[in-house]
Amino acid sequence: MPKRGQLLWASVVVFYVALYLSSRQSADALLFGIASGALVSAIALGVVLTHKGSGVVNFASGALAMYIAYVYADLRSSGRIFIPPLPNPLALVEGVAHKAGAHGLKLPHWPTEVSLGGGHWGFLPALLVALAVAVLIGLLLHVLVFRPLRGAPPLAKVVASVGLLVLTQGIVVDRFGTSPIALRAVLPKRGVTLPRSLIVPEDQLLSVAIVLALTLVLWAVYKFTQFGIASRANADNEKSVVLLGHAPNRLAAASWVLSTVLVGLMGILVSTVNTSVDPNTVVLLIVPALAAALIGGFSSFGVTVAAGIAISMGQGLIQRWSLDSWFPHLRGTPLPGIQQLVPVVVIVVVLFARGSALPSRATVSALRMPFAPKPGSARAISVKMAVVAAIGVVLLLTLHPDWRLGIASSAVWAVLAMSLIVVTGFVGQVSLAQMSFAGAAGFALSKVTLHQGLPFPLGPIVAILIATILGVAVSGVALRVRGVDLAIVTFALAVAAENIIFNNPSLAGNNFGANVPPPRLGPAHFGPNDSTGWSLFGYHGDGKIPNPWFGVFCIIVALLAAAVVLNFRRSHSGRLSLAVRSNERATASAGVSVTRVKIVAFSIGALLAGTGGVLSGYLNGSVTTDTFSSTASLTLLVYAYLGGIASVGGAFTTGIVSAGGLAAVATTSWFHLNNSYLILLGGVGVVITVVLNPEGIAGETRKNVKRLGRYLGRGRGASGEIGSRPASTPEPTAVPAPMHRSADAMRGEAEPSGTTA
Amino acid sequence: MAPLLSATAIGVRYGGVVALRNVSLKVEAGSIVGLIGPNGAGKTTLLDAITGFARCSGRIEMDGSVISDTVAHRRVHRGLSRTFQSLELFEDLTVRDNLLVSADPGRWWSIFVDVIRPGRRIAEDAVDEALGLLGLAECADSLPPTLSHGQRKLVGVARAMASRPRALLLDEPAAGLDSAESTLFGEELRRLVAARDVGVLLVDHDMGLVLNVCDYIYVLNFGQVIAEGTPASIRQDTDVVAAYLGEQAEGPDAGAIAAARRGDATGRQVVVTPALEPVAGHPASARRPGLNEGSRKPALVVQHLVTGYSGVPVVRDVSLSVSRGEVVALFGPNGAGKTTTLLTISGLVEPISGSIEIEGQECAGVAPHVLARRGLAHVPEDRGIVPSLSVRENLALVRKHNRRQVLGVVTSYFPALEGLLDRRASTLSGGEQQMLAIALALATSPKVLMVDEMSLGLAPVIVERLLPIMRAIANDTDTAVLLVEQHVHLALEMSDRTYVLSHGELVLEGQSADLSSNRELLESSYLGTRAL
Repeated sequence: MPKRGQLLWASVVVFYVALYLSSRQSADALLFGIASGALVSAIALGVVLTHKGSGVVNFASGALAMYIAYVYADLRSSGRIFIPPLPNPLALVEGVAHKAGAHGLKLPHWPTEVSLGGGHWGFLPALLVALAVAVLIGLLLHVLVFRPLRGAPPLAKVVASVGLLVLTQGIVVDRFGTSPIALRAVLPKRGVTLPRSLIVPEDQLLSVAIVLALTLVLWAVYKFTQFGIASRANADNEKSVVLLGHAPNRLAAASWVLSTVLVGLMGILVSTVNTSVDPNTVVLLIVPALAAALIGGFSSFGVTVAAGIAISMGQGLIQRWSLDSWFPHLRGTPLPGIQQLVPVVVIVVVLFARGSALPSRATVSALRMPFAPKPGSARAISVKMAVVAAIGVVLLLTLHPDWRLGIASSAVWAVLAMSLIVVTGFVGQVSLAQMSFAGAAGFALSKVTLHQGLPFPLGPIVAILIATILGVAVSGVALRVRGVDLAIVTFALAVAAENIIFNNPSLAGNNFGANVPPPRLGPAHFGPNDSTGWSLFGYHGDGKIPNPWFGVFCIIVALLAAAVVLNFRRSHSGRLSLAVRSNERATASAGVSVTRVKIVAFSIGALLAGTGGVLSGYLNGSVTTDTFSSTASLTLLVYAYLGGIASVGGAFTTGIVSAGGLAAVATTSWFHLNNSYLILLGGVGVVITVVLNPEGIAGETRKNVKRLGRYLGRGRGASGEIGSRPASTPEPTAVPAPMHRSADAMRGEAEPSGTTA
Repeated sequence: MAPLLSATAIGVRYGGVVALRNVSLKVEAGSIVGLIGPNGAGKTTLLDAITGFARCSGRIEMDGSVISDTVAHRRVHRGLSRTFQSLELFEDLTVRDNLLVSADPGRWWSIFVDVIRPGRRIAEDAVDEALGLLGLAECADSLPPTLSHGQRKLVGVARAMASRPRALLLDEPAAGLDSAESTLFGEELRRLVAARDVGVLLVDHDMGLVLNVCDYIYVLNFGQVIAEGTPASIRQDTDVVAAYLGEQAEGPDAGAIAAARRGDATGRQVVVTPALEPVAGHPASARRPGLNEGSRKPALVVQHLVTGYSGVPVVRDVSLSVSRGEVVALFGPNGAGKTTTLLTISGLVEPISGSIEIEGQECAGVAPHVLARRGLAHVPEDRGIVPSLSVRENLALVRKHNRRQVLGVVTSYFPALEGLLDRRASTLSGGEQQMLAIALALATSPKVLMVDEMSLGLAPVIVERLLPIMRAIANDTDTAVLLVEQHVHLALEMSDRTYVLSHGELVLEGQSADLSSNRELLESSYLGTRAL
């Protein structure tokens, strides 16, 4: 840390001490957040540990803490270990059999738990078994996910860890629901009297003490043992560590185990202090934890823990202040979620200060992305679109209402996915805030239609413009921050937007969200719940909701959006975007303003996200915080990556497999799977996809089709020109991510002799 | 009239390190100016500074107007264009698209036009012209990864040309090309300059190319210009030869080089000098007396090694061996494949074919950390130390239980390190860092020790002190030592045998003593093998 940093630290400490001494109230406020500060610090330590060991910024660090806490809770209450529900291939057989009428057929399922004798378990045995599970999880994560991803592009690692977050959360929600589970306190809750006669519960102080003690142990291990020194060295110069005979894999595995156990332990302890655990709160502590880890430079344990505690204290302080009369109020209630701004501000300031407009020589070409296929000719595209539209309309007019809803949902998700395709797929900037743009448009739509009375085409246009302007504003950050760092910033912004804007009752209405009146243009009523009496060439529908014409509207909008994205990709702007994605320095050296390309991409991305948000508002008849939460942004990235992040075809795949989409309708109506199970499947799917096939489903399908085409071409013999001119029909993965070649081997290409690209 | 491009008193610092100090140069329209210098001299940094990719002090002018404060992409609009050492092509854009990016940088409003009319034609003529100039019309629709290395190099130049620059800065465009391709490239370049009246600043290690095509040459070493002049005068400049071969100013006269070059103009077949006993009176006294080849056990045997990146060979059919107690030097110009060979031996790069044996045990494809445990030590080019750790912690990385013994070995060869144990490695001087790197490797008690470019960025005085230690290590510990060295003169003196790599192939091998007395052979392989 430079001198400036020390100055900043000193001023924070002085400020806190002064506050503590100034009044009893503010002293109380400072200690308000101290227990969660312990957990934030632990999660941040987990992030630092895994980053040291394997170079992964683990967004799921908080989710793992939550998961282990649930393992503990389940052990305490019923003496068993729950097993993640696994996809059962036999369920398919069973489903088909049931459809065919064989209702008696029962095939074996995966076990859902390991019973350890049942009954209520005591604290210590439950803790130890839960930590043993943590060890196992840490090992599995290393072996199954992050070891194969060594040398993979940073985006793949981000997506994998985000997928892990979605997966763990999905498992817990599927199993235990979203409401909190009560936990018995284990640490003494007696009040401890501090100077100025402040009374703080003992367990709060104890959890901080435990984190500090653990930090000290970690510090000593990393300072004095060969394992620790080698791990530190590994983060700095992996090549030399390997050349001295250390196995980097073992170091990485150890750090995954260590970090999982650490966050698990503190997750359990702090949950008992709070006497409850739920699948959301702890997961989102990753934002302040990431802020703390950033301050610690992803390396210093001490600084990280101090920052974690300081940030939490700041958050607690603001939470307390919001009860005061001077605190900014909106319509009688204090502005909610301002405390979320603390980590956001920290993250933005730290990253912006450290960032630069162009990456340095060493960091260039760190980001390798899935291939972005060039779309066919305008005519081919129009034909494809017409076919999709025709099929969609016919299905909408004939199918069961559930399927109509599925088609509409798929179209909405496809539009949302397209926003990520532009930002991430084409320009290579990882945004975890796309659903916030969608939400901004959704809530704006509700406002301008209900309060300003703007009619149909005008209301959504204004709403989408608002989202676009926000996109331009956020792109300002992306100009200096890239890669994983950008993912961190945008995620923090998404959390802030969720808490400050979408949770604001004056904006978002009550718990049921803000109403969105259905779209109506003159006599045409095509809201999903609008009267559905219609007749076309003497054909009448079933008269049920949703109105099929709403589905048609969604398909038209989705195809328009697809046309925009395809044209963007085909045009010179798309060419410049891919150039930026491929190499920012080289793009600048070609005379292109990288700044402009990024701003354009972010605004188009926000425009599309806004469009998706507006459609989603119409579809649900309302906009709610949940729909546009930060977790929703993560889920969107997961599904978009699953579908294929670099092509429009991928967006439609995303639409089909997303929550409420066609695949969901199919699985729920055929196999009676619930929604949380689908999210869980998405999490599993994306992790597997990233590990096996970084191009996503669409990329894989396209490759297979190409391979098939080439095979057929060869089969046709002399006429098969495809096979005979390999140079002109290059394999799309001609820029492979050499997954199993270690990163240092890449770095080793110091001698500019080869095809070092 | 002001020159096309002029840089005056350029200085660049990275942290505390001075990369460039008070460098000035000029490029006139229609001329090719060469910029040469050993590895780490600051050539690429100078290009970065001129094109706006590195912050610098000093003044940069195009046609007399100052562009020092202009951002990188705007300098391109002023007519300044560059290529990169590692090409940095847009790998998932076709060749034509690569060129189009540079031909039309776009405007703020382009996006609105583009979404409605994506197929609009832009600057196609500039692209076609650049493609034609470099003979790339055939592969315009290919993706860069499907092209040969030579073609990729040309695409890099074509992309720079597509912006119709007046000043073109080329960073090692000939690296990795074989000598025929390199000659061809030189001719293309000449033609291009004549056709478009551009000024070219050419950075390259291929001395044959530079001496052939340039009108004027600047020589950079340790961040400063050490010589400038016409190719003829540079060729005779003893400082330049010294900078390249790491010698004192007693280099051979240019006539000898030219003669050697003429003599070797025919081909690149391996020249094997007959195995001779060390010449009496030659300063090879450091070599161990009384050992002949037969009594030495080979510790490292490499046979028919082909290796490279992503399946593209950089090193072709290289065979070499190092016996215990022997010091073997591996020479060759930059880009010859020396580092790649070493990286392959230590397992960091996977070989394409061939075998690598250490003490009779097959090692090709074995994980690097396993090889390290089997007794292979490798000091990489960028020094195998961990900058963020202290010297003591660095030494703690050695997998030995007896810490005292480790310290004993280290301090017996490098007593200077004893006083530095608690300093962070990053704060050590270059020489001290290199000592630490060698000490680390040594402390593992290796059977085979490979040291890559030990003298990189070190002052000659320090190199003179360090290199003999390698000899001592081989003598005392019976370690097989393989050195990749720039300081040919010194390395020849203290090594037993020598291999020379050029363009990825072994071109010369023999007793070091013979090569010392027949240095023209060696220099010709460094300074380009073409007749003048």
